[in-house]
Amino acid sequence: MKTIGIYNIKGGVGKTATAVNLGHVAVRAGLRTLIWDLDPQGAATFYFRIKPKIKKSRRMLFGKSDLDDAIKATDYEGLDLLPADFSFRNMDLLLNKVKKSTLQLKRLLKPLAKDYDLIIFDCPPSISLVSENVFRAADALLVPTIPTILSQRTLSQLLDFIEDNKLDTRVLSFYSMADIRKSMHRNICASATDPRCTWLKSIIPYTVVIENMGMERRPVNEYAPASMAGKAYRALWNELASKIKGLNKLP
Amino acid sequence: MLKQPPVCFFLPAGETAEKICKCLAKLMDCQIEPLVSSKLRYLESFDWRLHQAGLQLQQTGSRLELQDKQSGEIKSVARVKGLAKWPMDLPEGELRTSLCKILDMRALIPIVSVDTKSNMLSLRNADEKTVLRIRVDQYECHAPGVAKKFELPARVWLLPLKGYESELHQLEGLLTEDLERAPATGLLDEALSAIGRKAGDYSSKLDFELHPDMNTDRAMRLILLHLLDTLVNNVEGTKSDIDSEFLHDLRVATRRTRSALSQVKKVFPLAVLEDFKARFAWVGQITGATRDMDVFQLEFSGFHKLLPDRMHASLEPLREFNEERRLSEQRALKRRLNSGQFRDMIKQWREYLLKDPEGGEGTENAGRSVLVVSQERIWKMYRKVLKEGRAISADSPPEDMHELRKSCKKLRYLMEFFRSLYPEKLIGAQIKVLKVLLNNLGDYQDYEVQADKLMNIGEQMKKEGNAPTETLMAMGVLVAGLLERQNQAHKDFASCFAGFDSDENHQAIRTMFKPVIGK
Repeated sequence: MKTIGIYNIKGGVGKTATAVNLGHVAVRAGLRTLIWDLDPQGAATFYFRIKPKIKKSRRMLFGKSDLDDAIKATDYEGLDLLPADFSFRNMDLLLNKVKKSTLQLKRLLKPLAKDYDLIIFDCPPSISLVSENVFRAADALLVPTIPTILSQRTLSQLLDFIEDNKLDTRVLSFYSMADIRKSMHRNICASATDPRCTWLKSIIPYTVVIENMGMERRPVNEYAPASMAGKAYRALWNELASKIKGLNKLP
Repeated sequence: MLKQPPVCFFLPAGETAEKICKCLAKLMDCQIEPLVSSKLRYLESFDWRLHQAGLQLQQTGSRLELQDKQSGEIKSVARVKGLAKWPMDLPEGELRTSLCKILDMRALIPIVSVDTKSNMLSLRNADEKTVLRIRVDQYECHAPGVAKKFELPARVWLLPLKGYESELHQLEGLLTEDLERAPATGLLDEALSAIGRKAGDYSSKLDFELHPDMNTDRAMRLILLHLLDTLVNNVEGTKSDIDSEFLHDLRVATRRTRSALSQVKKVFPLAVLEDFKARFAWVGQITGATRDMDVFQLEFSGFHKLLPDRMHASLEPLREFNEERRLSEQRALKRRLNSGQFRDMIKQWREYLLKDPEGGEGTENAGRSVLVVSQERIWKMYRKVLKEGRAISADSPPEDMHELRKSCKKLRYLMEFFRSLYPEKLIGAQIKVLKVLLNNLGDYQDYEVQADKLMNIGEQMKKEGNAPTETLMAMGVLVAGLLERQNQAHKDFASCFAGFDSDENHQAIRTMFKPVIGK
């Protein structure tokens, strides 16, 4: 089982769209996939038309509840979701109270290994105990980055944090919400990148097709497979699969 | 991913998938998906090794799925190009590992195909989220390569979605009133039955019931007919060169037939006996070369164990050389199995065996009880094995070991032919003891044969200018390793034979087989 955290310190960079669309493509590549919606805003849960579960996380952390019971099937065979739990906003507080607080997520994942080939974490922004748990549990962090100076700065902050805390988390990044009409976006996309992470060549464009996910409540490749965005997510997946052993490319 | 298994109902005869879909769509908010057609092929080894292991293997498109036959649980999955045949050619993973272990040298062959037309409905909640899937499958099956199709009972499947089990139970309750429950598994058996087959309908093992009162003529005809069926069942697979075990089973059936004809004397008239003994000897002869080369190809992994890793690649020219010759022998074998001589032999032998034995052949043993005749034969052969085995010393020539092996094989065949006449526990134990001795003698002879063959092939390769130095060197190392193993087998002989030549064994054999004077 492989685990990938979709993460950025900054909000609004296309994390959830990435998690949902990559999860959907992963299934088409033959992987049994679970998206774990860790973001209390529950956008991934909303996209899949699933109702969030309430008041479960405390029991989950203390091992009294079967994580499996909270999982819901999406409309796409092979793709399941662990819905956002509004009480996850208290997760940091709870994590503070348990021993080995930065390793709790890793512990929770163990029983899922027989059921899934891939787990994608849709992470909340900011650096917290939840995100540090993801850093330690995931095989790789995939960081959507908007081609702006500020976004690049937050990526560097993340890489500093990983370095300072001596984590061996593998970081991959790609440009997200890139608007080729803007010269700054074009220039930044063409410029050098932070050498501490693997930079993927695929670029997810800023497009209305992706914004429409909110109305469609479906992954882009369900309603607009021929669109630039649909193709871009498939290309991003294939590139990611070429970098991480154990992930299949699309047939 | 899914804890709740699917729920299944039979669609009543006369009802159509379209009708039930329309009825369900009227009852609830359903999305009707387009009709999907799929072709499912069940794959097995010819001798049903997956079935014996409680498993079944199915391929739909490129998806290969190994399932528990009883529960339908998916054990492992792989994606393949074309129809799967050899387990070792599958992509690395759990499925390949399992199949390699179970099938060993056997290939997968399609046993039955099921064409399915699926109507799918998605039941949705107020958020338009799918909470349950309903699939109505209509099936038609056919034997591989046969156009005639058979319809199987259609099924309605409720496919639960994780986290939405209550919706499943609601609809399940509703449908239970009108529809008959169907098992979620069993499609394979239904399809097999429709094409006139049954899982496990072939085994090379001797499996028949003899009765002590049966006369020997009748019993021998039963045994020989069973052997003839085994032989005939393996002809097509041998001709098509599907895997090496078809020819192996064909040869074992031939050898057993020859052994039965020569060991159980004075049952059939001499002229018939001599005629068919010669004809079965011919079958042994025309199949020998191909089998030798099959064994050689199968032995390659064993050869690798006798060589250092870096020499493994040096054996590749040898493998290619042998394979080329094997294919040529295989073609010659196919021509002979297609010949009138072979076909006539099979036909005439069957006709002879099916003749009514009540007519009486006038031979000495034909009318005697099979129990008594079998006791005499086994006792006599047992004493011969003891005599030959006891005469073997560390200085005995290889021929003596070979002779002993032949006698042991005859004894084993006799025990296997007449197994059902004796208490299973006792005779089973005897066959086991004999197998240990036979394995030792087999190893002794096989190592020698392989070493000789390697030397002959080395000569041939050299003559044809087809012998890289490193290959010849690797073959030299192999010959030395094989002869060393043969030597070891000779050393082990004494202890293996002692296991057979024990007081406990004598007692058991004496009780079962020593003829009672006067019978």
